[in-house]
Amino acid sequence: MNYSLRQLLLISLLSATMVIWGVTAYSSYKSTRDEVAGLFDAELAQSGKVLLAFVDSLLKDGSLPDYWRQGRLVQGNADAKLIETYQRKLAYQLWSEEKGLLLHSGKQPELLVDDVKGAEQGGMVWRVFGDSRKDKVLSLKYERKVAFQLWSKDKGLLLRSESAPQVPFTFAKQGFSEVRSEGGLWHVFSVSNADGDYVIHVGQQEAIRTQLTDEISEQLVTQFLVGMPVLALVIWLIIGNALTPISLLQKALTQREVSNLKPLSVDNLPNEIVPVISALNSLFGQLEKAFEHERRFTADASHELRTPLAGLLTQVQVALKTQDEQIQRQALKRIEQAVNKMSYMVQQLLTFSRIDSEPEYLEKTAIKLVSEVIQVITDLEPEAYKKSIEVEFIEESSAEIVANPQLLNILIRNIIDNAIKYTPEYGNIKIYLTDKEKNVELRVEDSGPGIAPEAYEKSLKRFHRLAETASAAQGTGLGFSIVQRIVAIHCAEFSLGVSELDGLKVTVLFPDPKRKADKAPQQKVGMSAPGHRRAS
Amino acid sequence: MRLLLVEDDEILGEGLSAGLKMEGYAVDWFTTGKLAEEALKTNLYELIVLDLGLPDIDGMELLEELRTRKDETPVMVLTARDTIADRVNGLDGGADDFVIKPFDLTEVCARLRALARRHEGRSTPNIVHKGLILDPASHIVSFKNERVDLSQKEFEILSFLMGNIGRVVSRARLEESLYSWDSDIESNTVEVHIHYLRKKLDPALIRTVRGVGYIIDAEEG
Repeated sequence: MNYSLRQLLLISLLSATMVIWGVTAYSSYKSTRDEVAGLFDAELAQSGKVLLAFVDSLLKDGSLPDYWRQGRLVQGNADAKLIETYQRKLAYQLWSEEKGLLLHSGKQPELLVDDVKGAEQGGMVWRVFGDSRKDKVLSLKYERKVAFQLWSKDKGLLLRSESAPQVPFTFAKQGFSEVRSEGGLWHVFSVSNADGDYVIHVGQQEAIRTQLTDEISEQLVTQFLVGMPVLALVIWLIIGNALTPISLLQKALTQREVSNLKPLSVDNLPNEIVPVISALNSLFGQLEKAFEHERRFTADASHELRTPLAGLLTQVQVALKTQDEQIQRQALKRIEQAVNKMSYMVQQLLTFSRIDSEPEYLEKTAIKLVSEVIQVITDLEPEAYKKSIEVEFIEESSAEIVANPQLLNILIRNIIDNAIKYTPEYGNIKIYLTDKEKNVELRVEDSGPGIAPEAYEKSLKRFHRLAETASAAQGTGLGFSIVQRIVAIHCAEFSLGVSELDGLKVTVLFPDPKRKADKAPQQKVGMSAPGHRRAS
Repeated sequence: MRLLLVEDDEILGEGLSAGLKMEGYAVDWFTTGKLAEEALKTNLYELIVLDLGLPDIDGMELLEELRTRKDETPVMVLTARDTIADRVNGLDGGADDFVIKPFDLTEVCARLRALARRHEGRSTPNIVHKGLILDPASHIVSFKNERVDLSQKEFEILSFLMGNIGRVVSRARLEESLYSWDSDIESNTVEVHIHYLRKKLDPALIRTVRGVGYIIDAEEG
């Protein structure tokens, strides 16, 4: 299945971003909620203590400032740590119109307005306060959600805010508690005076906190919703930009002509793509080589066909022109020979090209080598008999090898046919089949002219015919090329040598599957040094 | 006209040999470069037809060697390779003509005639001398506007002498040009042919240089 790298990256990056953002958002939501709760709790505690101090001073005789100074304010000890955290960050001031600043929190606040001093400050505070009282909106927003109660030990509920219920918020006298009451869940801070006569409950509805947290979360979600498409677009563009080399490569490849196998340039390309291009380039190189090989083969083959064609045409023209019946008969005989030779050559060429291109030639089965050799000898013996050549088969192995039947037949036929062609009349050909360690050896020895050891390499070249034998036998120069190809396909070894009959010795070593060593069969197709393989 | 044919392919060699003999050439045919080299050392040839794809010596090598020896015998090269580079190399290497296989026998003969003509320094195909016209292509000879029937050997001798007007041609040279290695030479045949030529044409046309050979004298003035 195909897929788009760009889409895959976009989808995976976006979903990863979403998950990570979700987790972060949730944890920041939680910590915001805790922070908000802490802040509000501290505020509650502060309010409670302010009220207590106020009430204390109202109930007892004496001026508030004195009372403060005597340090008789009871510090709520319910949640000392929490209060400690926020105490330094909260402050209050109680101003009287006549007497100025009456009461303030432990943290001495900065003057509201620096350049207004003394009594003037009091008057100013009052004026601003008067203005803000007229602005109801501010107070109304949270009015119903904040409440206080003042309970006396003896007289019950002394004082409460409009929003507070008439029953006690809680029975706790100190510290924080959460209570279900009218309007839902309330956070209550309770504080009592030193004697325990009075208890003040300051309450705050959960809704205030939820609302604030919700607002913060809402903002986060909104940011995300707006940011997500922008992020997607940016990711899309960045990926697109990063993938430019791929589309350039694609363009360069589609615009290529079939014959253009020049390597692609790897300059200025990302390291991730360089190996791909290197692999492509090496493939191009191999293709180029294969094409060159094909081209040369076609050229060679057509050149090889030109000479017999020329001979054919010349003989035809001689036959047509001559009045001499004897010359005409000779020419016709030669024409027949030429046609036969060309048919043989065409057949060899076809064989050669089929070996590489037709897959059924590559299917291998277990074959008894002996029966194949006998089959070929049976077919070719009449040819040898015509030349009075004695053919002898020495069978010393009955091994089975894994090979393609047709190819094996062509291989054996080419070697034996070659021996018959080049062996002069009244000569000898010996064919051996023997077990050799992990191999089966097929050896064909003849009493022909042989090949000089220094000419082995040359003789294995395509279309090469040796001078000494060229005119004696009408070979095509393709026989050994075909043999070598088939030998390579079967991982066998091929070598030439000097025969015990003083002619040519051709040896093929097939790997024997039954006695296969642990190591893989050698794929080498080579020639042995002269004399080294002389049969004993 | 004696011609050396070097061609390793049996069928083509035999065909060419037969075809060229029918045209009146005395053909020596060899299948290897070495044999051809030997023949070149011992004989004089008017034309050489050389195949490049020889099994032993490269045809080009043979040709270069020939030219190094200052032998200017016209050489026609036969080849299966038809690239321009091949042809250029061949011509630069000293070949006078290039024929790509497969070829037409009549074309090869025509080209050989042209080669011989150029070698003799003529530009027209017919050789004309004192009312005698010799057409090498059709083997037709006419004297004073009348066609003269000549045998093949008579024609060969006449065309050889007319190709060398004003020069004495030795008897041996004439014999050499008439007979290839494989044909029997009767020692007095040249005299016999000259005798018939004199009878059929103007008796004063061919002058005998005693002990040396024969000459057709150049026109005076």
